[in-house]
Amino acid sequence: VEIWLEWWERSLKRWVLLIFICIFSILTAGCWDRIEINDLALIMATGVDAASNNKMKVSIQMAIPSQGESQNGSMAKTGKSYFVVADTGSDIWGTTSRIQEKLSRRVFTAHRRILIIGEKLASQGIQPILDAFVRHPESRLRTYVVVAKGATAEKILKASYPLEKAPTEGIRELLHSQIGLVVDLKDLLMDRSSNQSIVLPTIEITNGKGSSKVFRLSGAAVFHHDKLAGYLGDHQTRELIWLRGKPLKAELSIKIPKLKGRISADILKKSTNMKARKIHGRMVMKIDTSANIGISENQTKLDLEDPETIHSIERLFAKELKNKLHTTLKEIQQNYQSDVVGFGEVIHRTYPKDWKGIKQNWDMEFPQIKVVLHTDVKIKRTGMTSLPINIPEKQIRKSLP
Amino acid sequence: MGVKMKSSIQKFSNLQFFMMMLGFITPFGHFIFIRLTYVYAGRNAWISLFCSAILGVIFIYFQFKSASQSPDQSLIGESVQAFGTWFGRVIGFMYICFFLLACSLSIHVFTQFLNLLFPLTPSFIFVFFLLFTMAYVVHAGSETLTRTIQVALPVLMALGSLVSILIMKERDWKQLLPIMENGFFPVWHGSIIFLTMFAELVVFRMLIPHTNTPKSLPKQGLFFVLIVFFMFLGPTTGPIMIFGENLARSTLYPTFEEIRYIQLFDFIERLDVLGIFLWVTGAFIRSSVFLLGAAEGMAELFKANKNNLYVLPITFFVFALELSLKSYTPEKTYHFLASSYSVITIFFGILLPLMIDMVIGFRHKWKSGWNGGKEV
Repeated sequence: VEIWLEWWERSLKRWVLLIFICIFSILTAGCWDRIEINDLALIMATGVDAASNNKMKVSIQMAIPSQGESQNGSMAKTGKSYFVVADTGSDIWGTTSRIQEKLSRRVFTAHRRILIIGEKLASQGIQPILDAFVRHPESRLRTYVVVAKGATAEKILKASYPLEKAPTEGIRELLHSQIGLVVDLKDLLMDRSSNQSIVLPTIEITNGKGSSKVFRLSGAAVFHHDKLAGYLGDHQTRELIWLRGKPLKAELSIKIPKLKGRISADILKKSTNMKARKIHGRMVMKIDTSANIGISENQTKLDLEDPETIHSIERLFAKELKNKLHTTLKEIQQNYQSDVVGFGEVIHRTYPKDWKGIKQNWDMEFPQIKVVLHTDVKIKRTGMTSLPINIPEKQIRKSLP
Repeated sequence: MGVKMKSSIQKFSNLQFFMMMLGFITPFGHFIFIRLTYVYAGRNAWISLFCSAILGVIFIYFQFKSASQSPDQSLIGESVQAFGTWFGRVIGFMYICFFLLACSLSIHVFTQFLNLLFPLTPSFIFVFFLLFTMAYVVHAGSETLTRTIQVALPVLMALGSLVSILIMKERDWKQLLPIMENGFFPVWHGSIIFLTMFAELVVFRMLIPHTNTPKSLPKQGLFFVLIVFFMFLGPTTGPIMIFGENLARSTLYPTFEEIRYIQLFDFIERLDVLGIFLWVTGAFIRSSVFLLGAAEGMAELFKANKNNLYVLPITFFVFALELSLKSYTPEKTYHFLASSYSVITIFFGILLPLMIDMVIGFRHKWKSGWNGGKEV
């Protein structure tokens, strides 16, 4: 063996290597999975709706690259830069395969930004569709998930959005603006696999100019297990985001007692700290939330230069915030009985042994959980003017009535 | 008595030696062993890492300590010294088989990953090109491999650090709570997985004769374990902090998924290619070291004139072995890695070397006693 190997080393090796390199350079120039970009149908969004006979309707919105932008970057005026194809089937990928039969290019889902779930399907339960969006290697956990409120996902995908080339881009930008709830596939699956109930942002169609239809980010869909239980309005959704400690761009507004007009403020910074405490054998949730705000509008005659006045206004903002959070929490606990805030997870982390007992009856326990709220608001900016504009000096009030 | 290595062997510095160890353990550990630990220890995988690092310190110290007593001998030479020519050679041959199995498994796990991303490309193409490059480098000698790793490792570490920084904002430390909810046993099970990773380092006992200053290895080994601990802490806690325990556990490649999840300023995203690069390089380093260990072992066992004489036949053997694993799905491979492979590796990586060292120690003592305290 050794003699043979040494002969191989001396003479044959370099020839065999040369032949191998030549053969494989020719045969494997480019891998089998290579696809030219002009052979791909880039999926921007997928919509899933419930169809008859326990089937689902899958709609996909694709980009039309040639309609996207002209060479100087301006919008092309020749037509829409997207189109929507739909089909009905029993599963997501089976239906997508049937859609593929209508397309000259290969469906490519790696660039999917949005997954829209139709209201009817959300009511029936979203568990069966989730796997398809995670298992496939092209799928991404960064895909945002929204529920089409009062509409089908297909309708939303077909609606135009004048500010963006494709409606999907509009939805994505709306979500990025942090004015509402933002949930991606990762968040959804995390909530589903933990002790938290699902809550998803909703998008609804509104009337635009003339007969055109546009859409807006309208609140949140609350799920009980995997089924839609109801909707939260815009304000309630913001309060829920506040409770969940997620980023939020919103304003707070208060009415000063015995004075005309309101004072509004932008949230500059906020934080929420949720703790579980066992008091007399019962779980109590303690929520401490604080915010730094900047006054954005003062319709009253109050002078905001006086520190005492500022302090009083801060207390009023804190009270208002507390009331709002309390009302939303009550609604979630009593009306939906879904732990979308994450109480269960906090109890699990703090009292893992107790949680094992509570977990079984959490649906019954959650509405009964007592919540102690503490809010603290600090005014950090009063804007470019401290005195109310266009109000005679005599009428300006230095303090609250 | 033992099988002597040739006097003209290629030498490399201790730094190169430890860089090779880091390149060997880190990428594959990040992609595979961390996921295997999640299956058992879940969010407590970092405690498993801590426990295994403590055991790793002891293991590495004693491995290097006993190996540095006879720095000219590789593991096979020592097994012959301990158990005699015939039985020692059988153990040596078993080690070679173990290295080749580990090499094939590493390539198999790697090609399975690539096949998920490139489903139409036949897996043997990946195997062929990886093995071709490995055989070329290993044939060129251990110094070539160490120099290759010396170039690749800083790049790998820089990219790994970049990934950690980019994903930092997504981490939520609360996901690591509660600690040890189900007691210590799952954590211990997770430690066994990480310990398997340390046990695989036994292949480096084949390369100790190449080091310039083997006497310093035991102390330097302690720093090595410390560096490994810190290099694994982020990737072990990262996917749990980002995806939560259940989601991290149910994904096949959680650290790769973590890289895929990076999004910064709305345009830094889809960094899959970074993960693929880290893994391609890591798989190459790991498999090459196993191949090198087996090739040197073969040369030593059969008293070949050249260390690289058997590189080609064993490369063909690995190729065949890998193809025979074709029916092993990722789940099946993971199950094997976490069960039988752990047992085999801990036996070959910890128990058997310990036995060899103990027998050599007893023999030394016995001979010293026989010759009136004078060592032979």
